[in-house]
Amino acid sequence: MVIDDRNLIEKFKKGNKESFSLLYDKYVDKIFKFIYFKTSHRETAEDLCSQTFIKALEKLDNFSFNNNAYFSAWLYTIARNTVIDYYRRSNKSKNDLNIDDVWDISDNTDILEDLEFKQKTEIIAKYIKKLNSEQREIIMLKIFEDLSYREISEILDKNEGACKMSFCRAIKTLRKEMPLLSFISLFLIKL
Amino acid sequence: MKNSKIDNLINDIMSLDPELKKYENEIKKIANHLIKAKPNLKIDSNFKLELKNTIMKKISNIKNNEKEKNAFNWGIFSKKLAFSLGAIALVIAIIIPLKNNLNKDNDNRNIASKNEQFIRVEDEAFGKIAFNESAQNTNNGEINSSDLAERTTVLGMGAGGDVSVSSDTRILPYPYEPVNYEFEYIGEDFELNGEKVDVYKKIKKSVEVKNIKDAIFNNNLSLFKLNNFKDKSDISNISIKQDKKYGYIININPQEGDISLYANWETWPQPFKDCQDDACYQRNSLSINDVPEDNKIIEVADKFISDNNINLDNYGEPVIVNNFREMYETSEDKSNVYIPDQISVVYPLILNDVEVIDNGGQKTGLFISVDIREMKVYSINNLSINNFEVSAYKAINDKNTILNYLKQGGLYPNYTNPDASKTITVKIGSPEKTLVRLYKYDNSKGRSDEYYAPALSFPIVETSSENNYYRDYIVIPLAEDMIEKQLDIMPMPILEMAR
Repeated sequence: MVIDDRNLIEKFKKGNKESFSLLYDKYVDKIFKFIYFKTSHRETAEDLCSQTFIKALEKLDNFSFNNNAYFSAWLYTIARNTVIDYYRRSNKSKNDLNIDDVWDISDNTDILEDLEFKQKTEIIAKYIKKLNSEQREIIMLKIFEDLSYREISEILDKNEGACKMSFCRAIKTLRKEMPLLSFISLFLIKL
Repeated sequence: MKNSKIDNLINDIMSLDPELKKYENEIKKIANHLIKAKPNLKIDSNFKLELKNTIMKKISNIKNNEKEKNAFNWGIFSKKLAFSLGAIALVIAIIIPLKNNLNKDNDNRNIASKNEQFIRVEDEAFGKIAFNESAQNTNNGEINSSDLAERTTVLGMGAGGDVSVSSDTRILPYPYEPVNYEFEYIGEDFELNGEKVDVYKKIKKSVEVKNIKDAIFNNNLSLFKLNNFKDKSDISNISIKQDKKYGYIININPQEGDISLYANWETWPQPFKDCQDDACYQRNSLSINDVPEDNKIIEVADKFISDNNINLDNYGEPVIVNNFREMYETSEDKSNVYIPDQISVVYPLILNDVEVIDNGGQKTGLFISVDIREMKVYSINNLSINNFEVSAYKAINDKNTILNYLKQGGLYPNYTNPDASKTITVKIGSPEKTLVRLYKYDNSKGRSDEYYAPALSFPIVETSSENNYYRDYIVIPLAEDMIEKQLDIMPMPILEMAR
């Protein structure tokens, strides 16, 4: 049985506020990981993850399934904006911060005990940084988060076709930039 | 991501750019490698529980606020006026001579009562106490299977860190090498005594704040005749903020008789305040060498307790919650282990000479966190009046039943992952008799009730070195009703039950 977001949200709106706890259970790991990829700092990711869910709880009454909107996309959008706000606050001097470049801002300097995470993100970062910020984010949402193009389009506020095209271009770039053998050998060494 | 999904992904790409067809195999490999490169990142289970508790408290507050709104029939006033009233009441609560009133109370009675009070009530007086049932089910004990989602929402609520099974399932390693767990009891023989066990329910006892209430309602407000609303009104929360160096924020809930205290961070040194880059964070972060000896930290907590007349009659010897030390000891790259600025000391609650644990088997009671940079108390939680109703419930007295529950994972059953590549055996040692604190959400009251039930706490004594099991203990309540109902339920139906 798959937990039905719509059913839970309708219950929430009718007064069964505890329904939110099931949504929390369903999404907390994903949202935490999504934020961690963007901050590479466990404590910060936990703080921003908390903010994300508190905001979602406070605003859930306003969420609407109009146009078959996805709750997951709405939640990722809150998380993404929370990360962007965090970087804006903590980099006051960087007023010209490109909000899509949060991936670049973090340099994985406070990865905790997770050596594997560090190794893997270093490899990924090396190649993914050859992509533009939108392509990077789409790769992350599509490959790591396993979201549909529809969900990605809602998160990034782009149309679905543009997201598909962007993903396609990203893969083409990766194919050109990474000689496959060296790509494979890198992973064989690390994994 | 399964192969079919990769195929879909590749098909999407090919449909957009047919030229890529000739590179299909190459692109598939790239997609596969990207998927494999997804780091096996684990969320900290304690953080997850704490956040869930925070959310459940917030939900409870939201519901209470809605009830208050209804009770006052705010519909006849403008929203703006309602907010003004709230703000004015808060200001008055702070500016009136609150200190004197509180001291007056303290002269007669410490906030934490000197002795526990136990009121014996009839058997099974609390109704069905499977803590994941909603209040509507308490009269007949029947579970409406058509409403699984609604029932499971009440799992793990309350302020104590209850774990929901659905949370647990997500701690399984993901997405690589998913494993299943089986439990093997290797402890000594143990005894079960008696047909019945006593279950304790905490009584929410109000703290008398009549003087404060009078002062608020009798104040002449030019904006609003507040006194018109005095009838049947209670003060539900008092917040006091100290605006001085090392000040605190004190929250008093007079209706439930509990107090929490936190550092007013604006008045405390902020070591990372001016940090613009990570190097600054690193430079200012604490190292393991900065962590004082446990007894020094406990001394700070003890002194605060003594200075502020906190009564510890119902609490045991303090212990440090030092999870970070375990992380440090087991970490290969110790330079990257986060050393917290605040370290918690727990004074375990003791009821009728039995120490209380939480549902994860850890000691629980009065929590005091100490800021180790400043060597000052940073926060206090769970300071409350300990009065209880006691009711007898049918006990589990068959050892095999206990061992069967143990094999399932106890209070929070494990579930098998159908994609698991291996099964890890977790070895369980001899149990200790204890009291476990559990919460049950009461929908009709919009709050959680707190129960303490006799339980066996089984320590995890051995597991695979490659796959550390995430729990230290498996707890099994001895009140039959509590665990039977729990295991009937499949809270996270994505995965199957283990065995």
